[in-house]
Amino acid sequence: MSERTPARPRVDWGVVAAVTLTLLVSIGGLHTVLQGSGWLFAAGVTVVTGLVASAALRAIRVPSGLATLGGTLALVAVVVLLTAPQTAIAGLVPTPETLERWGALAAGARQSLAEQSVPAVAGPGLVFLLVAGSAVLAVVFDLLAFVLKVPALVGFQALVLVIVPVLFPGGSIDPVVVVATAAAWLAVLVLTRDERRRPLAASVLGAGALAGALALTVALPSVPSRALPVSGSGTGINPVISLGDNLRRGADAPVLAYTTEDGSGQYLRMLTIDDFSGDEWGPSGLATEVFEVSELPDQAPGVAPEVPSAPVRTAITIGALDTRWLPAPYAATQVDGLTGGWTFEPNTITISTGSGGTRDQDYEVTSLVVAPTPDQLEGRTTPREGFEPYLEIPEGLPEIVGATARDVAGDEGSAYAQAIALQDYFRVGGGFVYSEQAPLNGDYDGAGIGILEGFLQAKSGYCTHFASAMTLMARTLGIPARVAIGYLPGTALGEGAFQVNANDLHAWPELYFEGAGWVRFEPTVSRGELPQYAQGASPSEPGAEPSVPQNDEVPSTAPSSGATVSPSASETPSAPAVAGATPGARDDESTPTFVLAGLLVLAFVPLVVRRLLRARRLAALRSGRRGARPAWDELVATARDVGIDLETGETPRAFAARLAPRAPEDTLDRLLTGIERDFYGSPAPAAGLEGDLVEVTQALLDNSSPATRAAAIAIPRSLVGGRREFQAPLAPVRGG
Amino acid sequence: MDASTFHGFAQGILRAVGTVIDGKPDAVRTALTVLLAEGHLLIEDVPGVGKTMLARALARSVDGTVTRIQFTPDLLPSDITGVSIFNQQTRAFEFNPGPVFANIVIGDEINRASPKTQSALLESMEERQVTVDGRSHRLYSPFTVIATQNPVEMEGTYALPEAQRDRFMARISMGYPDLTAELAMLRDRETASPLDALAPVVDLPTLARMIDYVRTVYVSPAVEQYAVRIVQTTRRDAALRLGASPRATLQLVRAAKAAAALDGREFVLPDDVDALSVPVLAHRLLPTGRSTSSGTDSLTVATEAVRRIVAATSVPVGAPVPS
Repeated sequence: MSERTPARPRVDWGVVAAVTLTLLVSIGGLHTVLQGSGWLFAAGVTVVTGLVASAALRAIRVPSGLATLGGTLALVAVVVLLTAPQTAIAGLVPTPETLERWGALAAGARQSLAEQSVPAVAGPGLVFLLVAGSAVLAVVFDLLAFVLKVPALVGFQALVLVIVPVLFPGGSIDPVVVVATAAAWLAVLVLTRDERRRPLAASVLGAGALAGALALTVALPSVPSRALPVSGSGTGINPVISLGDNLRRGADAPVLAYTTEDGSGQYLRMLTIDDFSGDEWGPSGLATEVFEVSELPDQAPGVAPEVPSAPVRTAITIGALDTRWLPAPYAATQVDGLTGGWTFEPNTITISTGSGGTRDQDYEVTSLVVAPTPDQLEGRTTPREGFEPYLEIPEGLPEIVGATARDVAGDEGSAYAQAIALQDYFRVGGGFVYSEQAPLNGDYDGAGIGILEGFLQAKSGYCTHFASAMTLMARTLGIPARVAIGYLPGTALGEGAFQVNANDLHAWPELYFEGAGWVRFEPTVSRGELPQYAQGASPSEPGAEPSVPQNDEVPSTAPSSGATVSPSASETPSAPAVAGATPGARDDESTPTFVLAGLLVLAFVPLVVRRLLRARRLAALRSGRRGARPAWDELVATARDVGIDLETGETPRAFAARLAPRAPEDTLDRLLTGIERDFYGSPAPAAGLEGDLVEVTQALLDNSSPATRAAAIAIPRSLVGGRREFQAPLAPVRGG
Repeated sequence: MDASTFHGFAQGILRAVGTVIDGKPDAVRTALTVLLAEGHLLIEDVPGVGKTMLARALARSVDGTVTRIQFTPDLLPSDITGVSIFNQQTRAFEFNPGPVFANIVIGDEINRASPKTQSALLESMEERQVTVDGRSHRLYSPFTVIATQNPVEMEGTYALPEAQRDRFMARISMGYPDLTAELAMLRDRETASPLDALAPVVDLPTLARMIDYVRTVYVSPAVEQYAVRIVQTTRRDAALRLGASPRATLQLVRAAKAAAALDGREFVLPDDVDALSVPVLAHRLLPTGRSTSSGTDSLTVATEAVRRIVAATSVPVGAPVPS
């Protein structure tokens, strides 16, 4: 009795376009964690190729499942073309070599994920990961939308994608992407007509995806945020990039504590950066030879005997901090109490371990505090031989770096005077301000010499910018220079005890002077403390406390933010105070992100439950176990969704009469007759109601206003309230 | 007889009666429903709206024996049931059947007769036989009484006691015709009586088979329960002093079966029950004194009560599980 609705075209290109768009937009949500747009283009090409290829196959009447297979083959070809064309036959057909290449790319991607912090540079590895992932998603979307015929459920996959960025520390969900994804998905829903097939299987898939999304949301707060510049023992780790993130994260959790004999605060140095080429800065290959930590030299490298130096003993206790580099004052001559195997590199006195880490270490460092006087430094020359790596000007160094260096210090007579001039330029004269957020906003965050141009123009940045800029400027002036990374002296607790927090993480330049060795400078405005020698050969009273008036320059009212000459660590500036509200902003933002993600998931619950109910009713109707009751229930529910409630005491016929203006008359009549015959007629299996039911309920939606329709889909009223009809009595049936 | 044949005949009757009674399809339909359900019909309304005309048209469209009794205050019971008369030639008492011996009996202005006479008719309606001088005589089959009465407030009437109203399957009122129907009636009646032109549509055996068919219409347990719930609710209603009897339940379902058959359906819908609940139940109910004290007549109160109960009784849905 039910005639199937007239055959539709085999491919509804509108739905294909909407499904493709949904996937594309949701992938685009990764823009908050990836730099550039090349990756999006690659993913876009992949997605469009896969979905259009399978749709085109369907259009020429290839069976749906086979069409998905064809689309998958097209996807493989496009992934090969985008990621490893040189290894493939004709650039498209993968060979064993292609698989090897993919393996390498995947490994590269893993490493890249471990090393980079967001927004990350999408190198070949990440692009491969992204393209391959997009290809898999394209197949899933194709299966859901066109084989299982439940296009609506692609929304859940898209939802998971949209949530992905918050998995990365510092990642965030772009509300625009959320809205755009939702809009694209609504387009899918509105364009969709037929979902009578396989709703149950698809519902299971959809429910699984939703459960996954929920689980992710629940798990998200427990994703450990890397409060450290470097973590684990990985190689090629880029501490510079994560430094900014760590500062911004504003975690002032204590990372270590130490006491010194003489009560002085100590810069705790961990490693040096001297290779500024490429996007990722790091220690150069200079450190070829390492020695056991017990073999530390008694003297700081390159320090002449006449330069005064005093040994200081520092007892350090590390808590949760876990890196392969040991925080230690410069220059360490002896380290006791370490567990595990530790080595040092003689050029830099960087102490590191190949296995284990710093977590829970409790050790004592004896170090020489080298304190040359300005006069001693004044006469020093700067060497060239043996220091080539520290003088190397990286390719593509922005013009402004050298030019500024010449402007600021070109006229000075000695290398020391040039260094002081550079430091003063940053701290006092140049009008620089300290900001952890500005580089991010100005898009010159991270590493790579390109950022220096932005920094020098904006005159706003944090320690990495100051330190690397001064280092490279010194190099252009012929002074060997490198960047040291470690911790500021921290907060004095009294009696020689200090506490160092995560946001005391710092970077500073070290410049080499013949006879004085590596000398620390402090160009970062408002942070750190100036060593006496670095206060400049003040014309009047060297060694006195020149009042460096940078407090006027710094947009901060923090009284301790001045770079006081006093070595007292109690004067250690507090980074959050200096940086205003910026540190911690990310944490504050991420909480609403979780809430938003949670709400987003919750917002889809009514829709999913409603769809599942509908799928269950359609399945029950098909099975015939409960007669026409599921058809009636679904009809009443859909009508309620669009604002027509079944009244108490209303018969099916009276109810249908009220639906009549909004539904095709013949189909509604057939459906009603079927329902009545099943409910009240002599027992006979109700059959063929499904098609009529789908048509009538769809018509009810179609003939409602767009607002009603959207509400019916997103927040179905039928889930709550509504009249509860009593089930027919279970009395034996007479007559038969 | 199957549903479509039945439907054909029924439509023929409705059309034929409709040529005489203008603009009252509902009344005509209910009247035919009662006829087919072997019930008796009470038509109650003011004089001159076509009560008798409906009764006669319905009777005439069926080719059976039709008698008409004009009830007056001096009518005796034997004037209805018949009398035994001594036959001089056979030297025996012979029963001389009264007008109640017919397929369709039209009782005009039944409430003008004395209660004694009324009860003679009403007993024969229920028993479908009359007993005269100790001998029982079966009435014809099919047998339907179509009684008309004026509203009880009219002069010179004896209101039917509730026990006797209960014998009627349904009560309808004609109501005044609307403007067009009254105009049409004027034109038609000026020239000729349409009643005279009315030819029988079905013969007696066909009518009997139609009545047999109605008995076979399927009533699902769901609908049975629905009808029972409605009737039982009338017994609990605050506005009613007397609810409907179990006989009312029986007649409600029987009438619903006829209504379903009239629609060409072989099973009863809750809609059939709904549509017949007022005609079948309202005249059996007695409102409380308080509910009629505001000047509303008792029938109106009862009608409203039935409508309210039907609207509040939820409809069972879902097929029962076969055992």
